[in-house]
Amino acid sequence: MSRFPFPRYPNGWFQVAYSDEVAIGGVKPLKYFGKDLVMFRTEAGKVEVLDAHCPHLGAHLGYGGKVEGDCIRCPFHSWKFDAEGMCVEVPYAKKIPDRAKIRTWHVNEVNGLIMVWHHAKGEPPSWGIQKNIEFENPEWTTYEKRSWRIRTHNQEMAENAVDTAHFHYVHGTVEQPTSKAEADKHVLRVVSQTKMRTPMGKTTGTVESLSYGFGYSLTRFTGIVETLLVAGVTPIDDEYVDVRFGFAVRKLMNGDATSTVGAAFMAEIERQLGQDIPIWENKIYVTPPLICDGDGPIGLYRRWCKQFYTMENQALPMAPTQPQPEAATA
Amino acid sequence: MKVLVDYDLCEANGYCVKAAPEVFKLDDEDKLHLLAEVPDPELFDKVRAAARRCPRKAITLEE
Repeated sequence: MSRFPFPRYPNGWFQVAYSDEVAIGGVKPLKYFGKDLVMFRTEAGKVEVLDAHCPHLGAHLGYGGKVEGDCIRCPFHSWKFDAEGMCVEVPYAKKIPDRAKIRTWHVNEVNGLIMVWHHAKGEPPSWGIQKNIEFENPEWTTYEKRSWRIRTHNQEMAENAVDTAHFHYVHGTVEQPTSKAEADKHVLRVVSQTKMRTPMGKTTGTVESLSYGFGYSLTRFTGIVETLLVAGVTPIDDEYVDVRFGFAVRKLMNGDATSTVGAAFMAEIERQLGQDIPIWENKIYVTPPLICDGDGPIGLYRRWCKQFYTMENQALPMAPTQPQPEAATA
Repeated sequence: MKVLVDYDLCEANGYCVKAAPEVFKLDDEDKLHLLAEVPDPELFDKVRAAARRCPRKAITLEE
């Protein structure tokens, strides 16, 4: 039985790896959205993601598959599939079976992340992810990375951005931040003013978070230093999500100071996430929530969330005990 | 009855819209609109529920 009264796998862009995890000719198995996938980088440098299993006799292309040009060759009987998933060669056969095709996924490699588009009905991307100014910018450090595997749902994690009251009670921030949220199509922008503890004492900082659907968000902190948190949250199966944080700092004049500040900030983010995890892993989803003044725009957030779901039966979307079946996406 | 909304307090949580859709409306940009400043008497109970449920206490009623 599902813990949540909405589909497990929302529509949108989701990070499946960092760019440096797959070199040219590299092949890697993935498991996301309850499916086995294979990711590879062609000799031209493009990342492709396909369903993992060969339609011939079911081998997983991510274990022993070989890249050739812009194709991948199955490790089992050497069938070769192109970037569109079409079988282009069966080395020992005269005729390629008509149905020798593997499902492909839309891939977007941007900001050092490899993202795929998930849609419950297999519809193509309805929005994109842009390059952000901090990436490959000599004034900014490269990412300091951390990752977690957490038993929760994307929507639950993302709700934290608007849940202003928890910052004080869960994270011990000096006082509750004041937040303003605006939803514009698939982008939710939350701006908060908060007092934060830093190695240089308490400071008032501005935190701007931009959520592009449920899978990808940018959080910019400005105060003593400017920092950027690039976060990817990707559902793995019915229970767990993969969380990846990449953290960059605008370089200070002094290189040692930059790394000290960066390390302290990352440690603070890790500390806060560590405090969120037991809440997320054990909470239930209350709908409608019993909220009061000071809670933040949770109602606005939850309305924004609805656009990322394909409901199988619109008459029964909110029945809490009804798991939403994931649409067949073959 | 007259309905007054403090739009600075409003956070667009939408509880009032659920309670009294005849009187409160959120547009596509999450801005709240009052459809009837002076609602019909048969809506009074709904409007009172809307004011009571607003987490921000942004709705006041002049009865």
